[in-house]
Amino acid sequence: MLLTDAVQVLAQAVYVGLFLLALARALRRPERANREIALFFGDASLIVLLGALGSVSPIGRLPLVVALGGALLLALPYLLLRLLDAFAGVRTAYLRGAEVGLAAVALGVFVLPMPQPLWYVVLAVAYFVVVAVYASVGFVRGGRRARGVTRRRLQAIGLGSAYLALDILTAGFAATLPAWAGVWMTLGGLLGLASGLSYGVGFAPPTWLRRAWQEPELRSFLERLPRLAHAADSASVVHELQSGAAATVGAAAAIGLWQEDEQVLRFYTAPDLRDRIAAAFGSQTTALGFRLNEQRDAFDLLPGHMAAGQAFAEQQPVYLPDAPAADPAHAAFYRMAGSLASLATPITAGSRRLGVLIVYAARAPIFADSDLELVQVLADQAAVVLESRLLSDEAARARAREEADRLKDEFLAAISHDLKNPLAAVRAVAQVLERRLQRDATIEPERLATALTNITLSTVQMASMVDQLLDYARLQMDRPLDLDRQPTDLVALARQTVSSYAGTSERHELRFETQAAAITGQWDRARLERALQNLIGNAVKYSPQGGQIVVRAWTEMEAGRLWGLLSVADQGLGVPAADLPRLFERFHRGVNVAGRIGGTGIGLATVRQIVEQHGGQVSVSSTEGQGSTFTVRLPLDGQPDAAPPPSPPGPAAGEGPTAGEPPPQPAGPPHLQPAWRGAGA
Amino acid sequence: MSSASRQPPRVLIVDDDARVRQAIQWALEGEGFVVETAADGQAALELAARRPPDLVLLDMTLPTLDGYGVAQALRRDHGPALPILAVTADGQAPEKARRVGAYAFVRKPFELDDLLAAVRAGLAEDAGQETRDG
Repeated sequence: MLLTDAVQVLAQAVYVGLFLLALARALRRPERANREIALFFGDASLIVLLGALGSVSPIGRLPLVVALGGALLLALPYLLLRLLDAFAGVRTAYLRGAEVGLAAVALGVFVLPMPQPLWYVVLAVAYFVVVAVYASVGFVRGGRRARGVTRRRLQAIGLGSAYLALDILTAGFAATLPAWAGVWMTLGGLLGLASGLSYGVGFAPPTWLRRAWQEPELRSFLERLPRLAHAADSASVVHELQSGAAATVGAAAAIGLWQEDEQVLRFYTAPDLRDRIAAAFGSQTTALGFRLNEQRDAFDLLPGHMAAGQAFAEQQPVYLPDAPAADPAHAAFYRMAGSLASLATPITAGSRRLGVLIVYAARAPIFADSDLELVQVLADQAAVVLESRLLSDEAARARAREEADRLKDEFLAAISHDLKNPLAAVRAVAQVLERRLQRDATIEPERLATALTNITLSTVQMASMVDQLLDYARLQMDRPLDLDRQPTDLVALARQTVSSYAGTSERHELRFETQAAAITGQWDRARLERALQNLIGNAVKYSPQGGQIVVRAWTEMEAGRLWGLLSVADQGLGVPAADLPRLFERFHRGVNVAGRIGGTGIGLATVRQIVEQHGGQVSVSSTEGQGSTFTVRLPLDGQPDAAPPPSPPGPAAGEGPTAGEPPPQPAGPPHLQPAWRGAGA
Repeated sequence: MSSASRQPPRVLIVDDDARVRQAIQWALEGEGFVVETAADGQAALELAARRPPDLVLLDMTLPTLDGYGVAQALRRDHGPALPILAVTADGQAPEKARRVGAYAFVRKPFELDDLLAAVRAGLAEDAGQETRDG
């Protein structure tokens, strides 16, 4: 029977070893599950110890000690049930029932005489087997709901419990059928070893086994990665990584992307989370480390706050099995996000801190160590993806900078070109007159008048260009214009500007149309004039075949405010659809005119700058080959700049469209539709 | 210069800036040339087709059809002998002007004397090549 003894000693050693591991872990992390595991193996080890005591010392053979060993053995399935409760939940009624059963059979151990009656042995074994099998099935079912490593581990524990039940069954047979005792003993030893090894695999799987179990999940995650190369932006990359991590771990996952310039972690979450944070925390939002940015589908978190911020700040994983208890300040948020157990790990490529991956669920993970391991592997993969994404974004930014430099060079070339035309005109006219005077000293008065007018107009043109350059310099430095606001009539301004252009082109028919007698607002006259000049100048320049250019002025009510509108419509080249979105950017010029028609590419940027500083907007509608219409909207109710309209002082603080009437002005009543059609001016 | 004695040379000015155009026109008319003007390339080619000029004073930056396009079309229609004087306002244009076959270029803002000298040089070259007056 040497082999049987060896098997039994080995099984006992496995149990004691597992107890020592479980004890160490429970001391390190005294969570409920760890405590229950230690308790279970502690009980088993105590049984082993008492058995060993019996073989070496008479104390171990005392009836009370033997009875104690029996009671501890009968406690095993109950402890297993408690373990199952910690992992997957057991109905309270079943727990209570098991407690009553345990009390009954344990009592029997102490009160019944030593060769126990058969009925008691059958009863005790039946109790043990029923509870152990129930627990076994519970673990296997829990495993079916989990995935990856956790699933395999729960299955192993279920198997261990089944072996344990069989082990006790053989002990029962040994007691009732003593003739076969040797066979039962050998079988029981083997089953005990099998259960110990199964538990070992379940509760403390070796690394190589965990890796092997992780592999399928990891592979499914990795298979998602190639798709990311085509993602449109960082947010889509993050979304894809998040859903990949969530599917792999079997819990919700979120990635916070480190924003170097703003020093925040940005989470791209469900669209409403940001609003819910704002609603739930109000004035506390900032104190809790949240930053609510403009993007509705993202919120920012300061490093150091919550599990994610802490993991990022300390650059090591943070596991909060009960987050609301561990971090009460953010308890409301954890509950709101359904993140009662949080597991966060930094995403870092080399020394470059990229962000943080957080996996969270309503229930603490069964094997936090396995999940943490997996999450770290996922974070490493995410780091590779995100870093390559960042590198390509940086390359794109560098290209954009080069493009901006190129446009700036073109701008300088164009502005010098534009300045040289009036300079050439002035110098040539002056030298022609000089030549005349040197020769015969007579110049016809009309010619002299034209020459002087040309000189004047050229210098006006140059002065305006210099002004534009100065405004442009402010635009470059993002400095606001110093607006000189004074009562300015849009109708008079437009009429005058249109008439000053009337003689400059034979091919164009320039017209001004309005029904309003005057549209007067507090505006910078010179700046608006320049804006209009730019628009009319563009209309002339970009309709080289000629055609009508119609300037219109009218008023409109919108959003309870009165607006003065000015439009310039031409029948020229139009703007390619692709250029429309960037048309008002400085240096940007339509592909159909760049390099063909001289221009600096700042005219429209200046128009936008001027109009927006007035609190207005400029827009364009255009069809390539048919012409463009630029429309400027200026607030008429005298609100400074783009600030939200404060309620005007006075008794009737504006509600409804009529209460916000403009300051006294002779313009007709505000109409919703321009009424200028057919009305020449 | 020799041509001035008989029929006055015809010069075509192509420039989209009306004031520059007018100033050059006065200067050339003051020197006894017959001047025609065009504000863009299309008009220039039409004028040149109707009555071939002795010299074209061509601004390189024009709407729709730019100076280079105009120069190529003029070469196609009037052969390699038609002298084209390029007028440019940017620094890089001279090489390009030569590439399209302009015999010289003048940079804006120009000295009137330089412009007139360049025009005369172009007409003399033209006269020498075609021996029109001979």
